[in-house]
Amino acid sequence: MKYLVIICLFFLSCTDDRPLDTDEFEARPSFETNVFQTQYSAGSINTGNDSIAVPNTIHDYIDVNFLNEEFNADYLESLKFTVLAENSIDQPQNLDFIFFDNNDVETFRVTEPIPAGSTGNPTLKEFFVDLNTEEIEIITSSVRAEFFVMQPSTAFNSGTMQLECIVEGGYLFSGE
Amino acid sequence: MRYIFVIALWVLSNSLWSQNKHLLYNQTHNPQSLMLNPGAAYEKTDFHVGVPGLSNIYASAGNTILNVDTFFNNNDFNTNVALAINKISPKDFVAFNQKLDLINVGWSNGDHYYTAGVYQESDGVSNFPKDLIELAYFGNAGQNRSYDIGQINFRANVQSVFHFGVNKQVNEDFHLGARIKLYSSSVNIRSVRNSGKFNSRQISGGLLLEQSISNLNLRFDSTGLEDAEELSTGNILIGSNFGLGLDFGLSYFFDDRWEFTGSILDLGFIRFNKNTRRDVSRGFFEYEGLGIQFPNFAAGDDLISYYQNLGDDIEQDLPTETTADPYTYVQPTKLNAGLSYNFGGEGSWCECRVNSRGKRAGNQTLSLHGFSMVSAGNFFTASQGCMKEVFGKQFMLK
Repeated sequence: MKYLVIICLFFLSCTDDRPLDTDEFEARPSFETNVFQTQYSAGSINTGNDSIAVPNTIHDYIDVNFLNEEFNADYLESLKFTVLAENSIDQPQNLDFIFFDNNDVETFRVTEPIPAGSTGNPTLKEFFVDLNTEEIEIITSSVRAEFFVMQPSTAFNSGTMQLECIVEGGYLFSGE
Repeated sequence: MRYIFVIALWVLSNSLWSQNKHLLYNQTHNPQSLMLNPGAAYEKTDFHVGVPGLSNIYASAGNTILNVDTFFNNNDFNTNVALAINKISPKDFVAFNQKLDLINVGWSNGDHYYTAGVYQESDGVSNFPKDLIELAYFGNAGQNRSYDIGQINFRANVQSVFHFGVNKQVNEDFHLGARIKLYSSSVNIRSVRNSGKFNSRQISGGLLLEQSISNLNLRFDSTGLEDAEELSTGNILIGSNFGLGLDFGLSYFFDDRWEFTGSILDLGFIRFNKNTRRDVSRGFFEYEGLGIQFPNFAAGDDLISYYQNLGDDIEQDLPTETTADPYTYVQPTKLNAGLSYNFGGEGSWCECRVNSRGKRAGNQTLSLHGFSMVSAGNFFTASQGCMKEVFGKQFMLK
């Protein structure tokens, strides 16, 4: 009996030869996060907010040098911005997102027109900016973004423009 | 009866958690068994001296859920990784333990056998923070869920132990033993009893996500990490933080066939008060995206550093307090229990040069040994079955 036990234990402890190859390892996590939200009134864009006010324009700057992180440069594979605009201003709003590098040279621009709306019936528009590899490389070398809005002429109602933006970034980590 | 015992032994042997040093348990001819049970029925010699640095070298590492076959089989490796992540639970853990006996001596004095020595030991345990692993591997996009930050749970310690023990034969059937230990350590880390959640959910009626870190209470205690590069072998061997511990053990023969043994080891603590660092992060933070404000530059408003402000808000809402407060590290207490059955031909060891004090019958022993330990809230168990046979006077197979 005890020899049977020993034989069983012997066979239970058998091993085999197999490759321990991790070269084909690929992790593709995808992260999403809020980017910004904002709201401005028809009165604000009518007046303008530049140091020497330019009517019918409004703008702001966002430091985006965090995009420069080596982590992004090395592993970021896809980047998709989703923007939801709700416009109750009675003028079309032309959105521009302009990226600049360290030398203040424009590197990338996204332009999106939002049709006019009304206070009782605002215009809703959702749009995407899905960047390709080349565009991601440009974005990740940018340090500053300008958010510039323009309307063709003065608005006459008391509407507002509301914007929300989220981003989804896909990374690729491989074993090679 | 003994065949039932053999079958039970065989089945239970397959539930071993990992390889362990417990083959030494109740090897009563070996003085190292006194380190696992100070009350073992040790076959007393007049004295023993362990070879410094060589008398006991031990290392083990293992985990409760994953093995080589989990990752390397006929399926695609990446599929296996995803399956492995799904398979683990936050209660699963990975652990290591290492021990090096530096000095071990013992001597007999009447019915007492005294032992003393020094050993170096390191051990660590970490749970798999499943939620955070999933967050890192899959990301949060489209997941619509919470991630439990409280699953971060680990501790590790490097220590030297100076010990002195006594083993006493109370009567023919009963042995008792105890050992006092002085722990010294310069390196320790732990992060236990954490809480907090990272929430990332879609909400109806808008595009923005509900993203927050809620109920965060994340602690990290460490000793010796900040000046790790200055640590020398001497610092590691004789640490600057000290503690005390006790071991107890017993052995009882019901008759000449059945023996019960038990021990409780490392009932103690280390008080860390030198080179300590405690980081505690607490709070609640909700992120709704940068609030673009379109400052009125015409009125002299300045540019807003949105991301700098975001960083400041995070620091304000999730403050991390760093102190050098002392803390107490409770040793992972081990519990051993064993039951042995002796049978077979005439036992020969009572006539050998060692002076056996046991009353075993026969030259074969079947034994079951259970081990348990709690470390960082994790319950370690191992069961082991052994068959031992003595051939002649000098050769034993276990």
